[in-house]
Amino acid sequence: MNKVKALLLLASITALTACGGGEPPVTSSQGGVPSVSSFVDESNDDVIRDTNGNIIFNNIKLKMWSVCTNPDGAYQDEIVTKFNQAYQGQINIETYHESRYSIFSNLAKTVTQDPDNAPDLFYGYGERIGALVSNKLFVPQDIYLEQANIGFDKSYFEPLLVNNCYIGSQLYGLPISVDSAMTYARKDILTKNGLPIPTTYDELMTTCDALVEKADAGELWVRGNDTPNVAPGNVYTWRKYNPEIEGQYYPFPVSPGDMWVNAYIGESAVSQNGGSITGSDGMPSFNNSGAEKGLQLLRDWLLPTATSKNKHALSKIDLNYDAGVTEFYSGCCAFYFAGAWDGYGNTAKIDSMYTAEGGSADNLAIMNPAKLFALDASQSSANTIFGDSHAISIVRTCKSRTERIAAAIFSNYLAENCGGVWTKAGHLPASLIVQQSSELYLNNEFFDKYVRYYGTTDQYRTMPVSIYYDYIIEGFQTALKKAMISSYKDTPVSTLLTQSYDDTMNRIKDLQDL
Amino acid sequence: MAFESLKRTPSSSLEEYALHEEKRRLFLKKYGLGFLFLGPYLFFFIVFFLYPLFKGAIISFYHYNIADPTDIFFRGFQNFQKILFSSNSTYFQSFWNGMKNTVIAVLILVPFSVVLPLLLAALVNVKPFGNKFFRAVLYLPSIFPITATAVIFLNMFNNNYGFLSALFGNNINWLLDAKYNWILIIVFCLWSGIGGNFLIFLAALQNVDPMLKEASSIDGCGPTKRFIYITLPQIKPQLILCFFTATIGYMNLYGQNYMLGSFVSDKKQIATAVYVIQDLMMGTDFQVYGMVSAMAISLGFFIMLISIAQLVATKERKGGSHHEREYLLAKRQG
Amino acid sequence: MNGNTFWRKDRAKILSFTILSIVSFFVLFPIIWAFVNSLRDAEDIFYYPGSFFPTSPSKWTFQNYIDVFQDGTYPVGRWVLNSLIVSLVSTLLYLLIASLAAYAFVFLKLRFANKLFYFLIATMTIPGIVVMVPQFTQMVSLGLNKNLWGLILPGLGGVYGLFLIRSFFLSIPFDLVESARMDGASDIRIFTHIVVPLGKSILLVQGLFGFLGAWNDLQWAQLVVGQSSADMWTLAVGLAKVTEGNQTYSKLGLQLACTIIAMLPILILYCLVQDRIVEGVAMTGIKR
Repeated sequence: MNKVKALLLLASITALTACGGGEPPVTSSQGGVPSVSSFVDESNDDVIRDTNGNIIFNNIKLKMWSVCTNPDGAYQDEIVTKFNQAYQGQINIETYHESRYSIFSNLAKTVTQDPDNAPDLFYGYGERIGALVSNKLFVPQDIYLEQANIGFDKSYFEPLLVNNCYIGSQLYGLPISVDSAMTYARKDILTKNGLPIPTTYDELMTTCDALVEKADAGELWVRGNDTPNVAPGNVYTWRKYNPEIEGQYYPFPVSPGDMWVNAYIGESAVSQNGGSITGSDGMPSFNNSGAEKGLQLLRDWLLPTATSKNKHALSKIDLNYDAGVTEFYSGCCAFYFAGAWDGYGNTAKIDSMYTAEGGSADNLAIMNPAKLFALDASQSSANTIFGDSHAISIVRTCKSRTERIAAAIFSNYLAENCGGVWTKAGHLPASLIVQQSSELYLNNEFFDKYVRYYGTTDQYRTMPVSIYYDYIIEGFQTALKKAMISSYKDTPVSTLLTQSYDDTMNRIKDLQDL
Repeated sequence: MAFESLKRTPSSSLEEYALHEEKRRLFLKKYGLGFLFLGPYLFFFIVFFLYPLFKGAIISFYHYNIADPTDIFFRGFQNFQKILFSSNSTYFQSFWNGMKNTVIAVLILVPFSVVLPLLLAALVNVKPFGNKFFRAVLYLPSIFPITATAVIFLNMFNNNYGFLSALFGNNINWLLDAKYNWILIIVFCLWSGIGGNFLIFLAALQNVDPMLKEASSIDGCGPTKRFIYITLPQIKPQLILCFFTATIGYMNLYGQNYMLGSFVSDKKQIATAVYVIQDLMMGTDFQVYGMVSAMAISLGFFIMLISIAQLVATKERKGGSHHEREYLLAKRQG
Repeated sequence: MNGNTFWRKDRAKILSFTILSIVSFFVLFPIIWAFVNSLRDAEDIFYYPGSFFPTSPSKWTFQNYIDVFQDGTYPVGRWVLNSLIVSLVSTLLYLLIASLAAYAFVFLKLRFANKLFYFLIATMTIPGIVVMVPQFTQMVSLGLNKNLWGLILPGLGGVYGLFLIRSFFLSIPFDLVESARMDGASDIRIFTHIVVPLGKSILLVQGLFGFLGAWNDLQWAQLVVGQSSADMWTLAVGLAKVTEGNQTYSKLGLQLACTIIAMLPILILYCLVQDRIVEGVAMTGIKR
């Protein structure tokens, strides 16, 4: 036993005194924008061409990892199956789905420790491409699209989405789609009470105030599922909301614990008031006045002040999660936030609840975030929707050139075919060709039912490229959460933002010094 | 030692020879046996645990990028210095904040984790009606993975519709407010964690010699005294084991507060040491891996200090088993 | 013995029954909730989350359990088989080598025994994160992540079980072993005929713990077999995949069904084994 100890000791001393690896790299002062050296194609040139010059694909098997878990994952697999059928015998794609909480570290571990099992394609978020590319995990797409004789023309894609996929001068991910959170409204309740469907922040506040005042006066008509406080009825019966037994009426519940508030609504509130979360230098920028206005607006939602646009609280404060779902379906609120992917479920539910009365067409309104959080609706920044983008990239462990070209072909297929079942989950296609095509997109049932309300991709904003995406989004979300709970209600929003900003900058600096 | 008794001055070469043979045979027997019995375990331990542990420890001296092998270089003690000594480093601040939360949690959880299951096992040992049912029920929560049971608790304590939340009144926000969240975490840890110790104590209590208990009650011991002076010393090894493993286990507290604390706005308030470490690994900042390893080793170092203190403190009192043996011997002879 | 002692015994039993019943209620409450709601229509849970029971008799359903099997897309039976193999093999192997090692520490007078044991305990204090990636690298380089051995082998070096078994072997009187030795029995014989039967209860306890640990293990299993095809997954990994998604607390019905499915085999195992665990051993002292 002593020998083992001695060996260990000896080895550790050796390790300490030994020099290993290389010198620390010179820190670049480019902030958060990744810089990559110009790409050198080290793949195995094993391309075989036929007499016409076309590439022969002989049973190429590729593996794709995707951040899309169910239900999106299942829809994606449908598209992949169609591709596999179209390219039978030539190219076959196998998919693997894992959630974003673990997929990135697993990707890194597998690529370095177990390259034979590593994926050839990675379907992930456009926002994270910067960090993954700076760690040399991906190879460019455009080169292989060219070699596949498909070519790449960036004008075919939504400019902001495709620009974010460029690192340096190469395209490192092919943009597929973008999505955000939506507001679902009880059209029937609004109409019955003589209120319009709001289209701007001012209108939303006015409508909500009116709803609360009617409820307080006992004059608000509502209907929906049974609630514990009301004698059992059914979804068709109109009743007057009784605050004495049903409690205070809140027209628009919201919780900072819900993912859509943290990832889309908070950021939309910031961007619509002229602010930003990340600057063009890839560093955090959320200590600006636009962010202040956005967070203050969300705080006023819960705790109205003398100067806020709304006189009444729109939501109970300190709700934990899943805010508004039960109330929406029981009629105890008129609006609630959910992901774009809930469009399908919500329209189906309202359809079934009020089939005889026009279903979702007459009873459900869907509003995208544009202008709903802008203090000044006339600003150009007011008409923006903050969202998440998806892009597909080729991983460096894909060693053969034929495989990389096959991967590019699949990526292109995906981009061209995301106008069908992919929109069921609320994703808007990044390809302008698809967007404008009736056959590929505009005629599909999901577009008709709900996706048409999700806005157009030129309204969408995503985070600019940054290798510090993780820290920045976390820092912003901490400030957002604190602004919306009662424990911090006496701390000004600007202080919360500055604290978070300083924290994030410290973390970034420590990471750079590592 | 065994060989001392064999040291006799040989009076002839034959005796000398016999003596040497004896020594050799005994030596082989002792160490050969040791090899046979310990060998398999030590093989797996060294190959599949010690060696990776060593490699992992080496990583802590490097800037180690888990995604990019070209981004690896030696840092010496820098990682440790940042974590343990540089007060303006975020690694220092988050590590020590995590340590503080961890130690407080351990101080509260460990005593309960030993005393509660012991009392429950003692109660079940009395064999009341339905004790088999109780045995199953009390162990049941430990069978579930905590990812599943945490979701159940989250649901029951949601302040909008969870009924347990309604029981406690609307002003307590179990999921948002850090101090109530900690209470929830502690209750959850005890609910899901004491099953194991409960079972160990149950088995241990069964091994207590009933003759001793009878003997002492004849001598006029009340049940409490009997418990403290006869039963407890008999199960001393298990007490020490449970205490020791509970400490190490809760110094590594992570899953429970990660899940139950998902909605707390300032994660620093519920972050334990392992939480801080796991959090570093979660995103796309792959170059922190060396720091992650260094933090884990630093945590391990402190756990080791605490464990050594525990072992030293519990080693001295050997009185119990000694008395018990003397008593038995005396009884048999008398 | 007189009436007093009997009365005291009865009183003790009543008292313990009362306390245990109250405690059991609190312990069982979340589990009953989980069980009831796993049999409840998922939509019903979603729209009426505040209700303990399904809101109407028609809302009782097995659909959640059926959904786990997803019309055959997921090889759940295979997952159960994999989990069984991994748990059984690793538990049995570990019991064998750890009890041998514990015997060595307690009954073979080895000079280095104590120091070695303290070293082993010292390694227990290092958090598992340090070893995770190097162990993964090792599995890959040995080719063990292509099959279930990658899940079985690393656990065989665990210290906790050894610690547990050793603590129980310590309470076996050394005189028993000594006298058997003097009667000429070899250590192997003493091990199989005296120590193991006497230590049966703790071996069952450790067996249960080991089985449980392997069955419920998620992090390591996901790392090793998670990226392989679904046929290689264990039950824990597979069920985690089934419930993965955006907001898992909104998929409550499905998640609860998964939980119950994962828990049932162990519950059955425990019920079968718990009698023997607490049977204990009547310590009769040395037979002369």
